[in-house]
Amino acid sequence: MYKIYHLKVGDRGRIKEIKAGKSLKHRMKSFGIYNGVEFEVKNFSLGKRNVELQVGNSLVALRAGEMEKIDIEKL
Amino acid sequence: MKEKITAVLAGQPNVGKSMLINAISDAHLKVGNFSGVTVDKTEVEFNYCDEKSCSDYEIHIIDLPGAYSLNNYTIEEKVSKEFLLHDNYDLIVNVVDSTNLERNLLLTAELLELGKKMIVVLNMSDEAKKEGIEIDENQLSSILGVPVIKTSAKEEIGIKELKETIVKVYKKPYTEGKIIYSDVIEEEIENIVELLKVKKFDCKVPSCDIPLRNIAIKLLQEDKEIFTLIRKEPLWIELEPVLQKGLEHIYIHYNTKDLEEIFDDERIAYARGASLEVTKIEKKESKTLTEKIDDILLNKYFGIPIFLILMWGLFQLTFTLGAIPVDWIDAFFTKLAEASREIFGHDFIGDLIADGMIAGVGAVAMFLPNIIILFLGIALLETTGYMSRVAFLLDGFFHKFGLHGKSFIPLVTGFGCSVPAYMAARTLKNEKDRLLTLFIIGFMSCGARLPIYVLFTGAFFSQSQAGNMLFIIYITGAILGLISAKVLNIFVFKGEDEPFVMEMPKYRLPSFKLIFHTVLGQAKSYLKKAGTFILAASVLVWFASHYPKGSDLEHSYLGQTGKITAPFFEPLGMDWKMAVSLEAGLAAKEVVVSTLGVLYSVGEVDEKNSDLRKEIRKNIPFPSAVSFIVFVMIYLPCFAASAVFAKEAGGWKYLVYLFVFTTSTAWILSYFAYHTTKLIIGG
Repeated sequence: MYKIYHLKVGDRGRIKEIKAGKSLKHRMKSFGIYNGVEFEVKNFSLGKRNVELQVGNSLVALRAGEMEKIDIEKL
Repeated sequence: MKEKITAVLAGQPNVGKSMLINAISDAHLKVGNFSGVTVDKTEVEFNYCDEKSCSDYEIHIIDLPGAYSLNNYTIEEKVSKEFLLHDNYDLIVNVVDSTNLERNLLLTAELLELGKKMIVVLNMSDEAKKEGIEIDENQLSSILGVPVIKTSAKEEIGIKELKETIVKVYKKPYTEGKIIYSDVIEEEIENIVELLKVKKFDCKVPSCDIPLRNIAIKLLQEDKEIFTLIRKEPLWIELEPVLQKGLEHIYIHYNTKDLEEIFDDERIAYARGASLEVTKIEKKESKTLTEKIDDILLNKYFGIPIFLILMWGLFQLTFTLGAIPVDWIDAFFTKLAEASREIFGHDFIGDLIADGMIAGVGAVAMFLPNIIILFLGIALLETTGYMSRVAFLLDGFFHKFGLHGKSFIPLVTGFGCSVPAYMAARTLKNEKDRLLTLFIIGFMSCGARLPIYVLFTGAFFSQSQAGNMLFIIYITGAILGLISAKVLNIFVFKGEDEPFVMEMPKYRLPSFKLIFHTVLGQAKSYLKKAGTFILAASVLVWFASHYPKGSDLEHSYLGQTGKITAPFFEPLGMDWKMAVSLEAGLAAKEVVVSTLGVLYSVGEVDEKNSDLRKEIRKNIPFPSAVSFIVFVMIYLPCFAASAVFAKEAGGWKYLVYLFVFTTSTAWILSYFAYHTTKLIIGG
């Protein structure tokens, strides 16, 4: 399954599924991250431990653990 | 008689709420806490004046902490939700970031469900314009069913209109906000409202004193509070089947029984629809400023070095610039103590005032310049948006030890002074992250421990070596802290890692007015909270070291305690004099050096005194000195810091844990340090 850390800076992707508990799912939604949303990878920190995504008009940072929970497709 | 209007400012983080409240009225800003939690509560009160008359209305605005959603995820969200549901207020002012409408409208949708009077403020409209985003506020107002005002807190645009609208909305009766759901849900809302209307349902309790439509929505969301209230009513017998049928209808349609998810998706669709309809975006091809800055500051290779240079600058500023007023304050209080002695004499009263109280107040004031500069730096980092980048850059490293990227700031602040460091840990929103950070801040040797290190390294090493030794002491402390974090994370703060989902706000130029108020508020809160404790501790230590009356330090209560506890320190190679100094250091680390001075009969001295250095070299064997330094590096911070720790951690019981944790670690490591050094130098 494709994950965000498989992408490169500048790549675009679409969220396919978020495999997380209720509260994390809701949290992600309130940041604009939910099924079907398109995003662009803006930056990775060293070793791809964290990622900065552009979602809509906002920038959101995630950790590797959260990237693992999101299935995506590359655009 | 003036009429009082209470309005609450609600909005997501980074939408410029604090700046807006400053723009509305900075003269009457009150900063406090929400009861029971360390979440800042900012309020203003002012009289409303229009062309005709003044002061018919007294407007009271409360700034709620930023919340992405009303979902209890962070303390801030919990506080905001609690307040919105249970406190008395007349209307909600929902502040929205114009450059990020869709995501902000998610919260707006949740707020509309509360069924209160509301105004939506499109803040940062100047920024949106620059980015080529145009929002039709009239159309948005007709979609949402509440007044919409464009403002810019920075340019002070729309502030007057906002004040007018607050009064206008307050005077008008409630009109329903128009959050429209999909047909299935709307149909069921209609059914429930119909029944409630027919039965003339009237709820007198504040939390359900809202329009019937909102009660129906809450019933469909299975809101526990509304259920408990309504189940007591006879109407429940008829309502239950309607509700049950309605929910089944919804479940079938959505193919899930997760109501939270269903309503989340409804709000997302609503926010997206509304935002698409009212926003026109002029596509700009070039990168935004934030993207350009991020390319440099978040660069894989330069990001961390740039950050370290900035941090180094801040610390240089804190310690060089901060040292100047510290010297003045010190000189001032020394003079004051001398003067008071002349007035009150050298008896009990004179001593109490000069050595106990004035010295105590002096110690409180002495922290102030460092606190102000550090908080200025932190406020700058936070308001410019750089703090989130710091967390992003460092999270990979800190997470390995179970910490959060944002832990860095409180930990580094700890090198200056633990008091502001504990306070700075508030930037961590998650309880576990915050507690873990709080527990290891003490490992970062604070400025007050420096004199002890300077004295000992100066006594045993040449001047050129002493600097290196100091560096080693500081680095070892930090490494020990990280290791302890890992240990605590594995054995004490067990459980799954908290997720890391964080907004990276746009870079913004800081508002000096806002920073001024923030720093002023923090300085005041320090003086009030920590100040009283430091003063009390100072008087206590003065008493313990001067009484029973007429005794010298050796025979005072403090000296006696030192002698009683000496066996505890004996395996560490320390004598009772060192024990007394360490115990005196619980009050304030600065006291350690002066206590050593008194006990080794050099008199009142500082760390640069060569007589004291000589005495120390003569009386203290090198392994004991190493053991002493290791103990100082790890054991409990001063009373003031301990008091702040207990407040920030959420209870005195945590201080007990901290005491046990630091003392045992200090003892064990000192023991090893003592014996290892002895072995190496063959003593």
